[in-house]
Formats: sequence, C-alpha cells, structure tokens
Amino acid sequence: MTDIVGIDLGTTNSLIGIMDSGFPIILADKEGLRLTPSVVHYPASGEPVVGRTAARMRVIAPERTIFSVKRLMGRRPGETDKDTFPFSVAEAQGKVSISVGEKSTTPEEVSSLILRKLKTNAEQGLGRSVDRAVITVPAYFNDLQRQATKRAGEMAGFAVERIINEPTAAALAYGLDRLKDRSKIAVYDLGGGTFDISILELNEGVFRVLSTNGNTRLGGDDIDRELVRLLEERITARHPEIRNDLKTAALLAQLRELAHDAKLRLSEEPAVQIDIPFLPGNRRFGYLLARRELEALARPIIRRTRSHCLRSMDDAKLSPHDLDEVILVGGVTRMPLVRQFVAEIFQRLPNTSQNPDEAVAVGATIQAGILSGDIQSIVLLDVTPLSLGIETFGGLMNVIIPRNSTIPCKAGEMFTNAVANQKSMWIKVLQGERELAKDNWELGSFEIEFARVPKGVARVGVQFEIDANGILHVLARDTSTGRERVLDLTSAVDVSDETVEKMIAESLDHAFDDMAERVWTETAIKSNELLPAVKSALTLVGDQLTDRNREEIERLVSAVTEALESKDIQKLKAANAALDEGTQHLATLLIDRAMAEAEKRRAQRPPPTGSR
Amino acid sequence: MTDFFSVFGLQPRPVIDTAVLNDLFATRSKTAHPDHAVNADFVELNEAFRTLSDPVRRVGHLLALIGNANLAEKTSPEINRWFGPVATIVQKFDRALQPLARENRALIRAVKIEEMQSIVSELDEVSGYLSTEQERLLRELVDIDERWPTNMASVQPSLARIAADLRFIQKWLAQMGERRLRFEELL
Repeated sequence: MTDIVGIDLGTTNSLIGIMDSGFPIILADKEGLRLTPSVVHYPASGEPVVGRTAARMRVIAPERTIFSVKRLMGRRPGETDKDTFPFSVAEAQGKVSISVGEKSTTPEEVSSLILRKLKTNAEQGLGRSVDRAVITVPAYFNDLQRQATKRAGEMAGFAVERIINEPTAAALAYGLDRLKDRSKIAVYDLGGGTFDISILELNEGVFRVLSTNGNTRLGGDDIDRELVRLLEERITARHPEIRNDLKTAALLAQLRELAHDAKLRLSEEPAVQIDIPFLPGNRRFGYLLARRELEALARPIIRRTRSHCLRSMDDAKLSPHDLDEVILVGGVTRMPLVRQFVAEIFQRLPNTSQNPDEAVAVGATIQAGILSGDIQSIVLLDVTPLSLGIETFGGLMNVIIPRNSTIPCKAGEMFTNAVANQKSMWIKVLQGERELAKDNWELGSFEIEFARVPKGVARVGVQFEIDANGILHVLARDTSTGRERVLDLTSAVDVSDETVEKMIAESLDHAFDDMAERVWTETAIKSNELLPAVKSALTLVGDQLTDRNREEIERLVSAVTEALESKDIQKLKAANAALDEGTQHLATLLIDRAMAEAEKRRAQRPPPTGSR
Repeated sequence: MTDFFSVFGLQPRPVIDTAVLNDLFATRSKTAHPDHAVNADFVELNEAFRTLSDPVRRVGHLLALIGNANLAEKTSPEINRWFGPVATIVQKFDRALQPLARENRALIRAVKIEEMQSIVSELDEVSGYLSTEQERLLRELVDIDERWPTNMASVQPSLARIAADLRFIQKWLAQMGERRLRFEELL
C-alpha cells in the first residue's frame, strides 16, 4: 500500500500532511516551515519559482507573480474579478487564462505547480515518493471548480483519490479524539479567498454533514483590499501632489503587503505603525493604524457571512441552541471582530481549539488515512452544496438532486420523444439555487438519442450520479434496447463575446437619442429619490448623528436642491455623488436599526420545526 | 420495489423516531460507505434514509408499499385556502425586493429596507400560520401511528391527504424562507 497525502490547497497558503503510525502529521519543508505560500513567480527566463521565494517577488515583480489563483479555478469569463489582480487575466473563447510576459498559462497549471512543490517537499522529507493525494476544496465549490482542482492534482503527478470539503476536513480534525461523542457542531471557515459554513452531526465516529453554505469569493483578500484603499486615501490626503503616481503595480503590491501584515498584527495589538519610506518624489509616509479602523473596514465584509450561516441553520433545521460547538478555521478567524461576530450569530463563544491554518490539512490527512485503511473507525458522510437540475420548458430549473443531499447519491429522470421520429434531444445540466435556468451555472449539456418511433414511445432514462468527490456523472439507458452509455457533458459554449457585442450594439443604437435631455432626466430622478430618503432617514435615526454630521448632510441636501434649479448637469451629478457619499454613515445606522428589528422578530419566531 | 423500512430492519408505519433513524443510518454507514466497503450499496441506504426522514416521502412510500400509490392526492380545503395568501405575499415581497437588490446607493437602500419591514412581518405571519398547520398535520400523523397496525382501508385516504397537505406546506415554507433569507442578505 502506497502512502496517500492530504493537501490543503489554500488561497493564501498550502499544506501537506501524511498519516504516521495512526496520527496525522503536517510535513515541513527544508527550512522547517509547514505553510507554503500559494504563490508562483515566473522569472523572465528560467523555470517558475513556487512558495516562499515566489512570495518575496510579489512586491518586486507583481506582474510576473501569481497569487490567489484559487479565486480563478473553474471560473468562466465574466466571473473572475480580473481587475483586482496585478497580473494579467484574460478571458477568451470561454476560458480564463493568465498571461505573464509572452507566456500564457491557466489557473489549473498554476495550481499544479503549487501542488508539485508540496509533493517535492513531502518527498524530500519522507525520503520516498508520494503519488496519491486527497485535496481539499471550499465546500461551496461547484462541479467545474472541483473538476479543475482534480485536474490540477493530476497535472502535478498525483492520483487524486478524493476531493474533500474544507470545513468537513476541519471537522474531522476536531473530532478525531472525540470519536465517542454525539454532538452537533458548526464549522465557520473564513480563509483568504473563500467562506464556508458547515453543520455536522457527530455520532460515534460517523461525521454526517447536515448542511453547508458559503461564498467562494469572500475572504481575507477583500479586507486587505479595503485596507489598501484606506492607505491610498491617507497618503493622498497628506501628499496630494503624488496622487497620480500611486497607481503603479509595484507600489500597490507593497501597500498590499503592508496592509496584510498590519491586519495580522492587529489581531494581537490595538494599533500598529505603518511606514512607507520610499514614496515617489522621495516622500515618506508613516501612519498609526488602529484596530478600530481595520474593524470599521472589515465589518461589512464579515457581515456578509451572516446570511450563509442563517441559511445553513435553516437547511439543517436547527437553531443556534441546538449546536454543541462552533469551530473556527481559516486565518481570518484570528480577528477578534470575527470571533465576536460568530458569537453573536450562534449565541455562544466559538471553539478556538483548532489551529486555524492547519486544521483543514490535518483533516485531509485523516481522510487519506480512511482511504488507505489506516483509520477504520471514522465514516464521513458529506453533502453536495448546490442543487443539481436540468433546464425544462420555459427556461426553468427542474431540481433533480437538491442541495445538501448526502453523497454519493443517484437520481433518475425519464425522457421521451416529443414528436414522432425525433432523432435526439439536448439536455442542459445546471447547478445552483435560482428558479430561472439562466441564473444558475450551466455545467454543460448532453444529447440523448431516440429510436425512430411514434411520439411518446421512445424512453431514455438518464441517471445523474454525484460521487464522493461531489463531481457529477451522467449515464443514459435506453429502456427499449437496455443499452447504457456514459454521457460526456459538452462544456457550455461560451456566448459571452457575442452577448457583449450585442449589448454594445444595442447601447449604441440608443446612444444618440436626445442624449443631453435623457441624462438630465435620469440624474434628476436620482436626486428626487435621494432627497426624500435622506429626510426619512433623518427622522428615524437622525438623533444618533453628531451635530456636525447632521449639519454636513443638511449642507449637501441644499447643494442638491440648488443644483436641481440650476439645470447644470455636471453640478447635479457632483452634488448627488457628494450626498450619496456623505450619507453612508446615516445608511449604516438605518441598516443597524433594521438588523435589530429583524433579530427581534427572529427571536420571537418559534424554532424551525420539522421534517428532519 | 425496495421496502426502505426493511433496509433499516423496521416495520412500515407512518411515523419513525428521527433519533432512532439517525442512529441506524450512522451504524449502517460504517459498513456500507464506499470508503470502507467495496460492494455494499450505500446509494440505496442513502436513498432509504432520505425517504424515511421526510414525512411526505415516508408516507408516500408507505402508501406505495401497501399497494395504493395511485390514491388521488388532493389537498384539503384547510390548505386550499392558503394558496391565495401565500401567492399574494410572495409576489408583494418580490416586487419590493427586486428594486432593492439592484440599488447601490447606501441611503436609498437603507430607506427601502426600512419600508420593507412591514412586508417582512406579513411574510413571517403567514409562515407562522403555516407552521401551525404543519404541526397539526404531523400530530394527526402521530395519532394514526398510535393506532398502528390498523384497518388500512380506513386510514389510506387520511394518509394521502396528510401527505398532499404537508407537501404544499413544505413547498410554501421553503419559498417564503428563501425570500426571508434573500432579504437578510441585503442587510
């Protein structure tokens, strides 16, 4: 029996582990470090560099250094946030690629280099080769993202024995020495790029996931980005003359690095000093950043995890008091604000016993141990995070396997010919929770063939199977002939180029219809929406504003009123924007009020009753 | 067809204790999961668990087993009167939510959210009534179960009606719960 390694392929850092005499251990590299930065640097000549050396190049050569590539895995054009990366992300012919110099690569390839690096590290440490692996993915990854991860593993020379969900892996790490327990736990996993929440039932060694939810584009990266914006604002405020020189890739990369470090340190300290000695024009900049400021930026981002937590509890048909523990994983959960926030949602102090950086890798290693037969006493029953369905008449999504179904599972659907002698029929396969087919991910489509028979006589059964990796397989069976065949999903033909062109053409058609008039009317409508909104907000929460803030808003309101009378379009636009900006705090107060009311109602409602 | 009750060594009946079923599923999984066994049929065990866990599917399966899957599944008048109110509040909610979801000016959003509070309360109220109906139906199921085994002919129509009613309530509660969460997402 050859070894199976467990790998946490993270947005920011990756780790590799192996079972050693019945215990999961995380392997260190030559320098004795267990975290490998998920960064790949492509030098102008020579082989790509991976890990810590590459991470140091982020500031020096930002356009040749790829990080957070996990955010691009399995993505289609239009889903990439490509403008947030300092390197070049291209979207063409339905594919996402990354360009470095003249070279073009793919997210899978970059990930495979990270995996290969981990493989080499492990092999050097163990003195033997490892070629089978369990790799983790965010629980909320869809089929395409899972397949991309599996392909990356194969490109790195691994037989990928299992794709396992990160929060589930963390639950294994937590539960390994609690195999006699019967309890219900939630795993709150906030990493560099993704957020997952999973609720599990532990029953004497059986780990059954009840529900999972998340967001694959929400994480610590977003906080870093906000912090960079704050630093830019502060620098421009002090040195307005270099405003236009700040947007260089190298400086942005440096700011990002400083922001990231400051964020980490602020989990321990109330304030940290940020120094940038070499600004353009020989200027320097120092700033004392308080934890309070970081928290003000991070709060709206962390708040976005709330609805996912509520959804997962609803789906598991549980209330917070039914849970025995809430486990924190992912580096961002070191932030006191996150801990406080989780405590509020789940009405209990979170359990911080797991190393937030390592728990997922430890869990992947435990799953590797289960697959190799080293661990007999644990069974993991995971679920599929997203509903699987097909497009039906009228562009609706018909769910075939609902979200949170325990995997592996199967479901069948029968198709028949709609007219006599119909040769075949195309079926679109979808994943997602929306009612309209077009709002869900299209995984691809397949063709079923009919015998030449009268209308309604042909019968082809199609079986949808989600395997233990959460990956879909489709099998068709002709009931008259008994023939079965595996169907390949033809990946969705990319229509985005065409759609975009069409949209541009349409907008041009209307571009010259009495432009000036229309722009004025639209802007004035915006003002006429804003003004009563401000008035009503001031009535509801105005008493919570400082006098200065209130006066400022009143001044901005009169500016809009004056601009409306002036008929000066530029002036009105500016006044609208200023009022929008100036009422952000007022809006926050109003939302807080709405949240408090929602919370009150939630508390009054009876706990979810149910069918489970 | 496979008797899903017998998969767990249980007698077919309208109510199964969830805790007992959970434990049985956990125990059986230890030997049936593909990670530990090559030939065991986990997919069937999984399907059996899914069917028996949910009252609607469980009763449907029970009726099919006792040979009466074709009973007309008509909802009762008590449930029929909810079609209107549910559709009305759901539409009202969607009409208010859509412009809100598109709005990106913070203050306008906040004001619209404030204005939506009354619609949300109305939605919660309807959900509350439906939950009460759901509990009533589940109690009725327990009553039948307490007299089990019983004269099949006399309880089959009741079982079919309860299953049909519960199915609609589940669907409505899910639709409304989904909207509730979409609203919370915007907060």
